Amino acid sequence: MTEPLSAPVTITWEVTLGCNLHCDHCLSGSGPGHQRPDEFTTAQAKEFIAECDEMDVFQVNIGGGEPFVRPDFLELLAELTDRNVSTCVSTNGTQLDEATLDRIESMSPLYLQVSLDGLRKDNDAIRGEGVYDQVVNALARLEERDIGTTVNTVVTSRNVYDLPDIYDLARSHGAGLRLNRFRPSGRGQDTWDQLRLDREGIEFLHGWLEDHGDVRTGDSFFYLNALGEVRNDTLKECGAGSMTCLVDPVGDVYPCAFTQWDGLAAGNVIEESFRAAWDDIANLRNSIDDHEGCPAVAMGSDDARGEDPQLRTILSGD
Amino acid sequence: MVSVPPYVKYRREADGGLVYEHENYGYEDATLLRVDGTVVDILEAVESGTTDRAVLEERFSPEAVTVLERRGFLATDD
Repeated sequence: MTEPLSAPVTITWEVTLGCNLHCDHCLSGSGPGHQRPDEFTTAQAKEFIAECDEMDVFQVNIGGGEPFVRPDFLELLAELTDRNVSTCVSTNGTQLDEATLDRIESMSPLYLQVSLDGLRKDNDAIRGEGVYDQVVNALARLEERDIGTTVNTVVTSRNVYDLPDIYDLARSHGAGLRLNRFRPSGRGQDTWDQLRLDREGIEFLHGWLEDHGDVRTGDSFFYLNALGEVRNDTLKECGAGSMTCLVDPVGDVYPCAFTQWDGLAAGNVIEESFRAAWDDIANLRNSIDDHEGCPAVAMGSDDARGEDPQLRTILSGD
Repeated sequence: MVSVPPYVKYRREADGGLVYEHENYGYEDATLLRVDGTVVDILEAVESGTTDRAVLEERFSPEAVTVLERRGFLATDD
């Protein structure tokens, strides 16, 4: 890009650090009682949403924590979708009661990603006893209502060989499958050696993805496919801080979900404005390269092909 | 009659514009394209009420309208 964008294309917004689950690999280290007292109030959140709308942000991807534990979350979703901001929510699927589904069924454009990290035994070992059954039940009810849903799976050593069954399970409920690589972030740092893929697992994943072109991946923003290859002729660059950014539960703005480092905070939405933070963030990209071993992608890489050294490292098993 | 599909979003930038197309799903499958300002002009015209294809072609060009249609940025209703 020759000129910085006037606004991000997409934003990842972690709306709370609270969660009813305590998953072993949680990238944000969320859990019960982890809400911070200074998280966005409803009024502050609505002000931020209005600013996103005014800046013409195309899409807001919401995560946490578990977004649905926020008592005002449906109100915030309505605020986003009423403004026609495309909204994607990552949820653990355990908070989707009928009253909640009644509300979200009427919202558009809204997409759900429901986490499932294996079949019953392996999923529940990571995410908690009984969660698998709750998620499968939620998938069935989402299908009944024809609410667009994707199963979101973090690929680990425990579930990689079950991907064909997870894929079938998702499809049997009319849902797509989206895979995320396990990354050493949050509690994932503590379980990295235990849950990361070995070379055989990586090679299996690599081959399986080649045969399943409909499986989505969250490797990077826009330009890399699951194998780390440049996917199309769109903007071939890491989007962190240039096309996207992360807003955390207390309003701090970072280049992306995996670069929540003190030196990369670009301002605070609540104390200042999102516009001010976005205008600052371009300056921070220059310092991202100074951090060795970016846990997400090749931040600020000048490689014209947009290759991703960290992803290559994962794929090669080094 | 032409229209901008609901899954196509666009905006003007300092040096042209952006078109974001997410027909399939959210951002992983989205396509983001850097476009000439004329593309944004056409999309804005349609959303401002110029939905008659002939009027649009006369104001811009038949080729431009066809290109946007082929890329899926415009939908045509019979």
